[in-house]
Amino acid sequence: MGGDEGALALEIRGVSKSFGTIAAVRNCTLKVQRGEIVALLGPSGCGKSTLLGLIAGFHRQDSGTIFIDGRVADALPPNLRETSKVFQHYALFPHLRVFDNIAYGLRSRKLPVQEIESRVAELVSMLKLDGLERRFPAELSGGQMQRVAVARALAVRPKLLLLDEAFSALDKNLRESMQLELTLLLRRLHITTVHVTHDQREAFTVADRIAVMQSGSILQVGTPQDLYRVPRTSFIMEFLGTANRIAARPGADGLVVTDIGVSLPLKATSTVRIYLRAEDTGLSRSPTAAHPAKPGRVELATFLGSTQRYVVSWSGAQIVSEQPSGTHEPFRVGEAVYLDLDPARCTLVDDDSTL
Amino acid sequence: MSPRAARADGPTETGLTVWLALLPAIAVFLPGFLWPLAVVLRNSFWRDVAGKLPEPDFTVASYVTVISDPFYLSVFLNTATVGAAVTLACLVIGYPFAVFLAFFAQRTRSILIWAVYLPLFISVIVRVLGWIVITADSGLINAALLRLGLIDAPLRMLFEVSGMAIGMVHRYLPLMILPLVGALMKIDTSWIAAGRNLGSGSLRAFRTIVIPLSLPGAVAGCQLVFAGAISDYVLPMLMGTTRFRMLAPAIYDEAITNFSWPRAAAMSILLIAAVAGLVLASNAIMRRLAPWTRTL
Repeated sequence: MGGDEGALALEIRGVSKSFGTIAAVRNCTLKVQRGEIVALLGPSGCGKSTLLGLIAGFHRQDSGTIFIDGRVADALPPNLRETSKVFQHYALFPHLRVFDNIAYGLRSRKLPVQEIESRVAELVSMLKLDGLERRFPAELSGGQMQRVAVARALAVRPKLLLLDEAFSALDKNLRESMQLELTLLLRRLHITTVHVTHDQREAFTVADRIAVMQSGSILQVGTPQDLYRVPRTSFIMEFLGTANRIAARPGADGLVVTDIGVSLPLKATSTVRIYLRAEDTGLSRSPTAAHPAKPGRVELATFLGSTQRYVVSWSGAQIVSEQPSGTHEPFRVGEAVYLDLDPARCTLVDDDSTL
Repeated sequence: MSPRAARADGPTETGLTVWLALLPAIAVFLPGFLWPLAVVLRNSFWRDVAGKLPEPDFTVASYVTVISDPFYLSVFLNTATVGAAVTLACLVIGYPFAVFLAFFAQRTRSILIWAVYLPLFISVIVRVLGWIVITADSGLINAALLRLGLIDAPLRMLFEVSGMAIGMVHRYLPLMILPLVGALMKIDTSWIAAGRNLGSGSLRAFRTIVIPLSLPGAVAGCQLVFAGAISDYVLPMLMGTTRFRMLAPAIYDEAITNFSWPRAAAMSILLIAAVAGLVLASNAIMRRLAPWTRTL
């Protein structure tokens, strides 16, 4: 319907929004291709839900422009934006049965009764809601409610699907299976989606690309691999996965000597921070090239199923290490261990840098 | 409205403790309410004797009289008409105010709720005296209209049906607004946002979401206002007219002036039955119109 074929499904250009003196969204720019799933990832209060509200038209940005399907959407009220939102707590209409909830958007578009019935039936079977059409939302389980919310949003065939923490109200197992199921469905139907979440695993599971947000700004946009391997800021490094932060200073022979007795063949001219992911932090019972002396003590050994996690401490420093379980003789609490590091996996950040 | 036996997490004491706790209520309810009601029911079957006190009997003569005599029928009809009109007026005045209070008033909400409550703390007699000053021939409204030249002679409101209805609307409006506000405050604004997101303009979102979800509050408000208006004694006496008889003063006249306790009792029983019947009927209609209320 309308729009030219080559246009982006969504383009946000320099959008800012303040509530009173609080800047909720600062100069955000984002492009979303047709059929792409993009996650807005960040801690609570980072402005990701506000940005979603701006896209849906619930708020009006103070500056910047939002294009939906190649057309300026700024002046459009929410009902004319052809976006569909799945709300955090689903926001199912409690006075309407499942059928009427799904049909709500079709009725507001005044579609013929027969088409409404066939589209609802299609979504009911697609989302495995058969037999629940006559139920009220209060008579559904959490997982069923989420399916109805998704069915209701997809029924209107939106140009853009907006998911607002759509899985956060579900139990862990159900959440993970729904994430997979919905991701497969969205890819099969080729539905452009903006997905807001604070959960890194969820963003990685669902999205093609991720925009990491902090304090109202988009810090970096990229594929999960890009963000994980080449994070542009230490915030992203620390937010994605488990990262160790080690203080270090330049030493003799151009090596960086850290507070915990580790020397690395890395160049630095001032004090720096070294970031190292937990899974890249190996442990050894004997001294290693990088860590010849001053072993740490295993404080905590936790079996996590597929991995084994250790907390190793020195006086004043702590390192988290994760190893695949079954690949090594598990270290015990109290054991003296040395770090086994690959310098190539270390990320150096100047101490006075703002990154 | 489904009956729930006992809440799963509630205390499990039964028997003596519960009855002991209920004792004060029973002590008031039994002699103070059920017993007089039983006496009224008994009196309604007694026999009228001209010029004397009624005599014990078991006859339905009084019921036959009050539902067939044109005078009593007009009393019932007047009362039902006023009750319906006052209820409708309260709904029309109260609904927009309740919507404003629930969705738009943020800093002023608690003050406005107090403004609704406050009249309930003032004696209805005092409030009626206020309305007399306002609605009298030489009162505030007429003085203003005369001075503005909009009318040549005072509009007669006081001691007329109109003045009485104004007083009743003022008296019962809080009973409409409070349940409405209660129902409207339960409406999650994300439901309205979802409606707008799914293509509804603000008017359609109001019609398809706010109005149906406020229905339980509206029905509760209508029940309270209607029951109050049809059984009101003070306002017909102080602001109404004897040319338009209302039920409660008519019952008083039968019992105190005419010594016709059986007729007064029969009218009272019919009034109670009418109120009970209306409440049951509107609850049944609610179950049909809003079956979702049972699921919450």
